[in-house]
Amino acid sequence: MLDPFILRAIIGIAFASLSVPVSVLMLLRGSLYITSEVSHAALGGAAIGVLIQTFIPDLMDPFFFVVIFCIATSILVSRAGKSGQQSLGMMLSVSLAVSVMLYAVIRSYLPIEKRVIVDSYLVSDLLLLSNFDILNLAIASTVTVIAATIFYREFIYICFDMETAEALGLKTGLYDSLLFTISAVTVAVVSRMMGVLLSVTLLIIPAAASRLLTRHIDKMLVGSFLIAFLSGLGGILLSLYSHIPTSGAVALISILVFSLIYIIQLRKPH
Amino acid sequence: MNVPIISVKDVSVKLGDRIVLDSVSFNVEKPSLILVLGPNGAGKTTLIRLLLGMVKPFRGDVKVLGLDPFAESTKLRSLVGYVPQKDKISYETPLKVSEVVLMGILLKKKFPRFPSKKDVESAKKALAYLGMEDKWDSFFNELSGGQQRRVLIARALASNPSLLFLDEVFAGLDFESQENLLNVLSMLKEKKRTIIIVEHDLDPIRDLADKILVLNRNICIYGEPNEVLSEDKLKPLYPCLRTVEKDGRQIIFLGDKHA
Repeated sequence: MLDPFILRAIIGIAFASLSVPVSVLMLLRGSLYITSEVSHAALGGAAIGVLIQTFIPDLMDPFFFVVIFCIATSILVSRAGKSGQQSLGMMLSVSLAVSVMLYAVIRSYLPIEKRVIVDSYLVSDLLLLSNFDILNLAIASTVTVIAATIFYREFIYICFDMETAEALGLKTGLYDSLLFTISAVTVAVVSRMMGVLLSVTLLIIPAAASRLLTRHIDKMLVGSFLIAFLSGLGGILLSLYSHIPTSGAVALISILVFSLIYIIQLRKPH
Repeated sequence: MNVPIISVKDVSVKLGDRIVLDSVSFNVEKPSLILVLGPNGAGKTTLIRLLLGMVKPFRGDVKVLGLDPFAESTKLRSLVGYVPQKDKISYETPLKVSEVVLMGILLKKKFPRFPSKKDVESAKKALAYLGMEDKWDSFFNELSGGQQRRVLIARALASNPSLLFLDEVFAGLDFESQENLLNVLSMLKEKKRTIIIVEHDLDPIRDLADKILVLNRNICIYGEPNEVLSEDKLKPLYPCLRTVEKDGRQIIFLGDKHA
């Protein structure tokens, strides 16, 4: 029988991996870099969420605020991106500054037991996930996967040719915002699992590695899930046998997987 | 009285604070190929976007196929085909040719946009019409520039539109690809389709054009090629214009650099 801590970590990584294919859509959209920037917003959302929870304990789990912050940042950044590189750069810097400011200021007013919760969003440990965390991740991942599946065709069309999609009547602004929204939920899920600092390893590496492996979009989606899930399992195993933090081990395995794929692709004749 | 295919009356369009089209008026009465020319920033693409209902004028009246492009956009968009400039396409999204051509049909269908057997047949037929049926399973981004342009035209034709908008489809094509594309446009003309084609250069399309519309925020000249193509009329718009006589034919270099 598996230890409940390990079981929760495996279930958690499975749900997080399920939402990772959304990063492939963001990669095809040319906006994957935004996900790492949006992950910083998770920190500000967590700080606000924990602060509110301190005063009104049963109102809402901090994860809810993490999701809201990530979605708001993602939408704002996508809007800024349409106004040009300067606005985009400014918005990315401002969102990072606001999140870190909220984290630093609010954290200093929190009791020590609450600081631990906020800090767990900065550097997380999969083995410390609670049943409630798993439930939150399951709901968020499921919503993400369902939305990505239902609107897959629309997302691919705006990635490939937004101009024609709009010309032929697709509400491109709506679907683009929806894609950025579900990507933000994915960021929130992965940030809860891995912590903001290491979340990029699951947000970007599986999508980038699967892009190197195949030209078929459907295989890229499946590939990114498998790379994320296997990196997660490998990381949990590595952490158990080497006593290094689980998130760090998962990040290490995913980086190794990417490097291996990259080297193999380099050696392949073109 | 016949309804004009396109009717634009005193239309002005702003993008931000800038007036991009100013008091534009013209009619397209019968199926024909209209070549839209103009220097950089003249509003050529905005004109297409206006006719497709993608930008709203702050003044004037537009009717396309007898429909208001804004109030009746859904109906209008089911009747038109569109090929954008090549830089609007993301070559990083590895779609197969079949998926690209089907896009022209499925975008006009209601959600969830599943392709029917008939849709697949229509897409294959459109691709065969462009002589590209053997590329059905190829990746779009692995085709040559000319082949990609033909696939995009097949996509525009797949839903059997009566009006076709082509935005700089000849840009960057080699001679052979240009010839192929001209043959396709010639066949479409014979089928009485109305084609609005925006280009930077007169050649190679000038011989196919029924009318030429020269735009520079407002309409400077609109008429048949023999009325429009004179140095006197074009020189004010294209100061670098040069004409050369070759084999009894006047070749006009407009001299406007592409942005």
